Amino acid sequence: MMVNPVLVQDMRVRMRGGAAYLLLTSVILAFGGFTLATFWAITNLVKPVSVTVVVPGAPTTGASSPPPLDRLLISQRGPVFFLLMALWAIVLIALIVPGATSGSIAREREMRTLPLIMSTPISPLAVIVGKLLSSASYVLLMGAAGIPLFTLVVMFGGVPPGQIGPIVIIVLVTAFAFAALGVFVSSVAHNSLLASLITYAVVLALTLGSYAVYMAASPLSKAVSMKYALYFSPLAAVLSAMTQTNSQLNSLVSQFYREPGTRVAGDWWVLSHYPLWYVTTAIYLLAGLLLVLAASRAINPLRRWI
Amino acid sequence: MSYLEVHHLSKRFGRTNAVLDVSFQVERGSVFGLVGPNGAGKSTLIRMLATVVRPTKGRITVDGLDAIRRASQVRRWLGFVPDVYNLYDDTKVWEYLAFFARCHGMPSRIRSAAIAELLKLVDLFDFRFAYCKSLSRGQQQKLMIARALINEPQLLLLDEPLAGLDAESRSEMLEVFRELAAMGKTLLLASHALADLVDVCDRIGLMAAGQLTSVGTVPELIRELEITQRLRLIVLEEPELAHRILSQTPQVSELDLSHMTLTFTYRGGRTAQADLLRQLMGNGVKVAQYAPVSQPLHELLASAPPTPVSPDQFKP
Repeated sequence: MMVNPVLVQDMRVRMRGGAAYLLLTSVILAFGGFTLATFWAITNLVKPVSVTVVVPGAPTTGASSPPPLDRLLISQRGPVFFLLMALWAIVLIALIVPGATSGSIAREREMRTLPLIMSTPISPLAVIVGKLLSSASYVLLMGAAGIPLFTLVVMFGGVPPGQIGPIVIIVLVTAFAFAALGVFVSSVAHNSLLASLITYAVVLALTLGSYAVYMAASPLSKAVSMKYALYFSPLAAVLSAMTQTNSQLNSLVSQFYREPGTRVAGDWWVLSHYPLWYVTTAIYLLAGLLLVLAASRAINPLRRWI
Repeated sequence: MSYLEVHHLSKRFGRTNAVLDVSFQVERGSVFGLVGPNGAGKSTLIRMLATVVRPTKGRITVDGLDAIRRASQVRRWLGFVPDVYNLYDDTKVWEYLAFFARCHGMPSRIRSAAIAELLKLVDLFDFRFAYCKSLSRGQQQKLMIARALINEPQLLLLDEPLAGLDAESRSEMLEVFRELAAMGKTLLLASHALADLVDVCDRIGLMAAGQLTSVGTVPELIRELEITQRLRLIVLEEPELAHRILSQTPQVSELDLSHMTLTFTYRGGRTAQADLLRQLMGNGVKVAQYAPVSQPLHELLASAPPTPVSPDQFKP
C-alpha cells in the first residue's frame, strides 16, 4: 500500500528543525500551567469539609455544614475540573489548528510548487487529505502529550467513562473541522498570510463569537432566536455533553449555559429534539467533509468553477 | 496520428489572449522547439500541455487521448519543467525526488535505484544528501530536469530548460535531450533564444503575441524569416531616383531616406531581393551598398506576420 506522498513529505519537513518542538513544548507548558492553576483553585478554594475542632468543655461555636453552592461544588469537583480542561482544549485547538493548516496550500502556491505536484497523477483530493492529515497528526501529537494532565481528574473522581467519550468526539471533530477550514481557505487564498487571517477570524467567531453573542443576548432572545448561535460553538457542545447526564453540574453552570429547547418525543426533525452537542458535532463533521471536497476542487487546475 | 496534437488551442486571462488559436503536431521521438520573445505565450502553452492550466478553447491529444478529459492518465506519461519554480527549502535532494516518485506511484523497491540513476545522469549524485536550497541555480535546474524524468515520461515539456546552466552543462543537457529523443521520447522545449534550440530540435515553432507564426525545420525557418527583411541601400548619387523606384515597388514598406542611405522593409526571398537590385541598377541607380540590416531574433519574430495555420499545414 502506498502511503500518501504529501503526508510523508509534509510530516518529514514539519518535524525538521526546532520550531515544531518549540511549539509543542510551549503548548504543553501552557496547558500544564492552566491545569495546575485549575487544580490548585479547586483544591484550595473549594474545601471538601469544614473542619471544626471541638474542645471538651468549651462552648459550642457556630460550626455548621458548608453553604449549598459550596456543597454542590464539593460534590462536582471532578466534573468541573474535567469541564474546564475540555473547554481549554477547545480553545487551544482554535489557537493552534488554523496556524498549522492555513498555510498548507497557499505556501505551495506562493512557492510555485503546486503546479509541479498537480502535473503528476496524484489526485487533488489526495493532496488535500495529505495536507490535512499532516496538520492533524501534529495537533494530535500535542493532544497526546496533554493526556497525562487529564489523569488528574482521577484524583477527584466523579467523571464516568460515558462522559469522557462525547468530549473526545467533540474535540476530535472540532479539530477536523477547523483543520478542513484552514486547508480550504488556504486553497482559495492568494497568500498564506491572508489565509491565516481569514481562518483565525472564522474559527474565533465560531468558538468564542457565537458563544459571546448568546451570552450578550437578553433572556428572551436567548430562549427564542439567539439559541441557534450556540449550535456553532464547540464550547457550548462541551457544556452540553457534560451537563447531559449530570443534573448537579447542569445547575452549577446554568448561569453560563442552558440547553436550547426541550426534547419532545416524536419530533425527530426538530433540532431541539437532540442534545446540542449531537447537532454541533454533526454540523462540524459535515462542514469539514464538504470543505475538504471544496478544497480539492479549488486546487484542481482543470476545474471549471471557483 | 502524431504523438502530440494541438488543435486550435486558446487561453484567455481576463481580456488578454495569452494563446490564440494555436495548432501543431509533434511526432513520437522527435524534438520540437518553441521560440519566441517574453510574453509570446510559450509558457502558457506548455502549462496547458502539462495539464496544469485549463485551455479556454481547443483540444490537446497525447497518444490519441484527450489531455484534459483523461488528465490523470496523460500525466503518467508527462515530465514537466516550468520556467519559474522553487524547490522546498527544508528538503534534501534525495527526498525531493522520492516525493515526486511517490506522487507518480513508483513502488519503493525500485524507487532508490531510479533516483540514484537519475542523480548520476545529471551529475548530482554527490549532492544527494544536500538541502535543495544549498544547490546553485544550475544544479537546481538539473534537479528539476531529473525530477521531470523520474517517471520515465514519454513526453517531456521543458520550459527554458537551459536557463541558468553554464556552457558545459548546456552541452551536457543538450546531449541528454538527444539521447532521450533517440530512446523514442518526445520532447517539447521552449526558449526565448533560437540559438539554444537549433542544435537539438527537429522542428521549431515561432510564437509571437500568443500566436504560432511559423513552424518548420531550422533551415526552413531561416528562409521564412528572411522573406520579410529590413534592407539598407546606399547610393553614390541621385537618392531621389532610388526612392522613387522603391516607393513604386509594392513589396517595399517603411521606406526611410537619410542622405544617401535608404532603409526599407522588403517582403520577398533572396531571389526577389536580387531582382530588385537588378531593377534599381537597370534604372540607372548607382549602388554603393545593398545589404540586409542585422536584426535581433525578437524583431524578426515580431515582423513575421501572425498567421494562424491549420494543423495539416504543419505536418512534418
